[in-house]
Amino acid sequence: MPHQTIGLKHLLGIVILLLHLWTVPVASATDVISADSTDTTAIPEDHPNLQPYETTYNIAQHILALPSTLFYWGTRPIGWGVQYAETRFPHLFEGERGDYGFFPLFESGSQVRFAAGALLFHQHLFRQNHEARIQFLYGTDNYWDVNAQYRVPVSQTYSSELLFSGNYKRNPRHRFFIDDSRLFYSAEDATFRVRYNSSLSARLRMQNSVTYSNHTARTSSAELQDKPITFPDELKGNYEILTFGNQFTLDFRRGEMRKVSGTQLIAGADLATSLKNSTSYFTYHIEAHQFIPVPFLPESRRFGIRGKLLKSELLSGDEIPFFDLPTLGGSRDLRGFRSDRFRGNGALIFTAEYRYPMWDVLDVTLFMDQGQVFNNFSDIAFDRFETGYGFGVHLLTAKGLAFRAEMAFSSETTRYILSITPTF
Amino acid sequence: MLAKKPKKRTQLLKQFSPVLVIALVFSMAAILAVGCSSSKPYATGPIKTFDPDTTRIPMPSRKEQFQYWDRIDNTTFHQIGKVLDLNRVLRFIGKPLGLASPREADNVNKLDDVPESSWYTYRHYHKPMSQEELARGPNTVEPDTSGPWYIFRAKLEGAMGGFFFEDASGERFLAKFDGPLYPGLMSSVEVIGSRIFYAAGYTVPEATVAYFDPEKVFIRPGVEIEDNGEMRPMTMDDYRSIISSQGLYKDGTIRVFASKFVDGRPLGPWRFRGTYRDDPNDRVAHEHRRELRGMRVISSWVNDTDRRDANSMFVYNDRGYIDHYVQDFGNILGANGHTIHRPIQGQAYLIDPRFMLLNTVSLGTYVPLWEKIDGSYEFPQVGYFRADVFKPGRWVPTHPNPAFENMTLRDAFWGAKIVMNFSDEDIRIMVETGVIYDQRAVDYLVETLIKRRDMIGRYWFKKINPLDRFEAALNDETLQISFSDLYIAGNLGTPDAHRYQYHIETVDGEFLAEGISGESSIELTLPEHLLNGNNYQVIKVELYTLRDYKHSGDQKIDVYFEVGKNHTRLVGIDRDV
Repeated sequence: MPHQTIGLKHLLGIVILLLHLWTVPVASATDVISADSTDTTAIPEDHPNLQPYETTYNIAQHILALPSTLFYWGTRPIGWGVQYAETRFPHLFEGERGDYGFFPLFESGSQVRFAAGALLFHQHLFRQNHEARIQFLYGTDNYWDVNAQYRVPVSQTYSSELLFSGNYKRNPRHRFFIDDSRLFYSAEDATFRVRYNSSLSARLRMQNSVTYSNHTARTSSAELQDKPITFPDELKGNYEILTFGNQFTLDFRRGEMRKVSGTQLIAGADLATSLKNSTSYFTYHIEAHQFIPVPFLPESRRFGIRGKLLKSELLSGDEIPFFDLPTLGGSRDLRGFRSDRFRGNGALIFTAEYRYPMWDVLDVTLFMDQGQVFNNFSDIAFDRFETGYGFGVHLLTAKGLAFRAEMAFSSETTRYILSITPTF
Repeated sequence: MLAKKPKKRTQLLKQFSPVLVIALVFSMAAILAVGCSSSKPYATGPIKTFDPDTTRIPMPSRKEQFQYWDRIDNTTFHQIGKVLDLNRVLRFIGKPLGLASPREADNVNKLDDVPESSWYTYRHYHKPMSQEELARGPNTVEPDTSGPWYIFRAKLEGAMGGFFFEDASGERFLAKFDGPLYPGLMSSVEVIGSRIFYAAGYTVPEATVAYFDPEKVFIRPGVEIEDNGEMRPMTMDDYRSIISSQGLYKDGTIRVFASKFVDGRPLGPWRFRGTYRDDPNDRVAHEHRRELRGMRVISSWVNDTDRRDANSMFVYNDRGYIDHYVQDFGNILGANGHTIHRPIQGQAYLIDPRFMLLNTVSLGTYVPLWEKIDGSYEFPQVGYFRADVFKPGRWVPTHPNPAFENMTLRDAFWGAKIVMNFSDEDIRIMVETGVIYDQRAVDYLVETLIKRRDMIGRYWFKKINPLDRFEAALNDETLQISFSDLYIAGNLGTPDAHRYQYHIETVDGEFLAEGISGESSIELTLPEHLLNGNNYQVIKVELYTLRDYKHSGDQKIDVYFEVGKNHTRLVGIDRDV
């Protein structure tokens, strides 16, 4: 074997040497002018003006360019695809949506490890400015999420609208935590919502909604029956809930693509009642966002701070359905932890982010989340805050976030997040 | 322990076959020496002044224009591909070590100049154009605005609104409109750009500002327009929609940029990289053509940020070969199509990994130049066009351009001398063809172009010895060599403080003369044997420029003259970089 190895090296060396000898640099384009002639007109057929220039490459140059050449041809099919799309769907490239079209969707870091799908839209379905969109995502473990929405402008007032939406979601591996134990259940949700959004003034928006939801929790195929703790049987079953919601948003933020300064306050409440029993409960939330530009730098370098409080109160019946309790963990809250990692009657979350531009429509963000869930306000304590931190890149459009990719860390795990939903 | 050492060395040597090592060294040397021509730096025959790429060929097939793939490809895949090209990487590494030189352009003659071809024509630098010629540019005819215009095709490509029309005399034009917020801006820069690039030597379409009566426009049957991805017949409502954003002038006319149809058959855009497989005349890779590499300097002068594949055109002409057009000047000077340039344009690519990395690692504390300046402008008909923030050596178009990326110092000098050749008056004449009504705007534009021109001269002429236009005359035994110092000719410095140090010898090494001249000329008495020999002899003149009595960057220029009895001619120029 050693002899064979040395022989191969010799052979390789000889090949390279031969290659070199074969590829003594070819004459450059400027060398075609005929030499050894002092008569500049006597031999017209040899006149340099009859000798064309040419770019030539020797074999060594071809070999050195091989990775680049392979890459070039490897990427051509992408080009053919883009060219086809450019011909067939020019609106996709023109920075503004056409009357109808589609966008690809990807999601990671929520309840599902990875999901992909598409968003189909029509800006004027049935009537002018009546927008319809269907979004579907299919993910790992046979996850399904289908959402349909129809938007109707009200009274020619562009800022007021009625939204009809329906959503079907199936997740056979929905996570559920009891203390530090991670369990699974199979969740199936169907929701129908009617929402009315209106601008009461330039700064104040109001949102009213009525939601019917049908939620089923079953044993997950991922659940190991011989585990010491399994998803509680008493939580399994079918739930039908009717919810009336109201929310006010006061927005004093400044900036279009990037919110660079100012405050936003959000306060809202939901009244939910079970259609199957006498349970009813009330959930309220208060949220504040503040943006502060970094002194001495352009205002695109800014800090963002968020504080959010959610609390559910049982009004009647035995208990609030577990899936409607406030949770922390996931792609928007306490990002270093798995989705719904913490669950309680209330949740408190604080986020601090430093956002700065990497490029025109790209921001880098460094963030830290601090949050805790609680059952009573008296449970809130400094030493109960869980910490997540990380960094990410935000792709922006003229209207705000288009997409974010983040890496989040915590004492429990490291997570990557791909999402089209902003944190705040 | 001592006994073991030789064994270890033997084992180590066995790891590397001597043949393999020699082969690798040879190959590395060959790679690093690629492009270093070992041929004579002067011509022993005639100087090449024309590249014969005009042989009659069958008409190639038409190439589609892909506005967006062109940008995506050059902005992303081409950038990654560059890093994977080891020829380029080795040159990059070898250059600071003195082991490799930049890859020079392939279509350069022994005078370090570009011969004429289907790409390039000797114009203002080589054959000074009159004021009338500069103002006329490529134009042979202007649209007849007295009679009706007939739309014979809708304009489907590109971002600008417009249509194709035929005037009463049967001439065909493309009409493009100004942006509604900047009346007169795009049409003026299109025309000014066509004059500048034409005078620089490029082939450009005819271009003019025209005023037409909107009531005298009709649509020919069969004209189709795209509506929601579907084609349908164009109607007068469509026409009215196109012109609806245009203001009427006092006489009821609408201003439009009109570009005459080129002679021949347009076949789509050519690329700034590679060759066109269907054209056997196209032998020089476009990224290695000097006129395209050097165009970067010309483009930087006028902030031609959209110089890319899609804004070019192959035209199969009546003589049976392809002309290479440079077109679409709507994104030069202060205009960015229908709107105006932003401060970042010209400073960085649309997606620029260099600045993205810098921004990221600095945690936002690095503030690029374009964030420090506002994009305000004084004259709407000029837009955003400034000289004070212009960096000639750092200028880039919006999308990476392979030919521009390959520009070497010699290419840059070639471009810079073309820019510097435009006098203040030349610039004013070309700017006035843009029909800008506000005289203060005209003055501002001219002044800014002059400032940017001079910045280009100061920057590039300090990096390479800017002596050019060498001539020699023989008077009996006295050889009179004259040249032009482009730095002085461009009024960038005063002649008094400049000297030219020379050393003259034959190419065989026979010393002839040396000294310092205060004039841009040298006189030399040639020995008898050079004049009376059987063959012409070649002498080499080594020249340094002493600016303010100091060496100007030690850049030497070797100039070669062929001499003999009653004979002398320039046969070579070799610039040190």
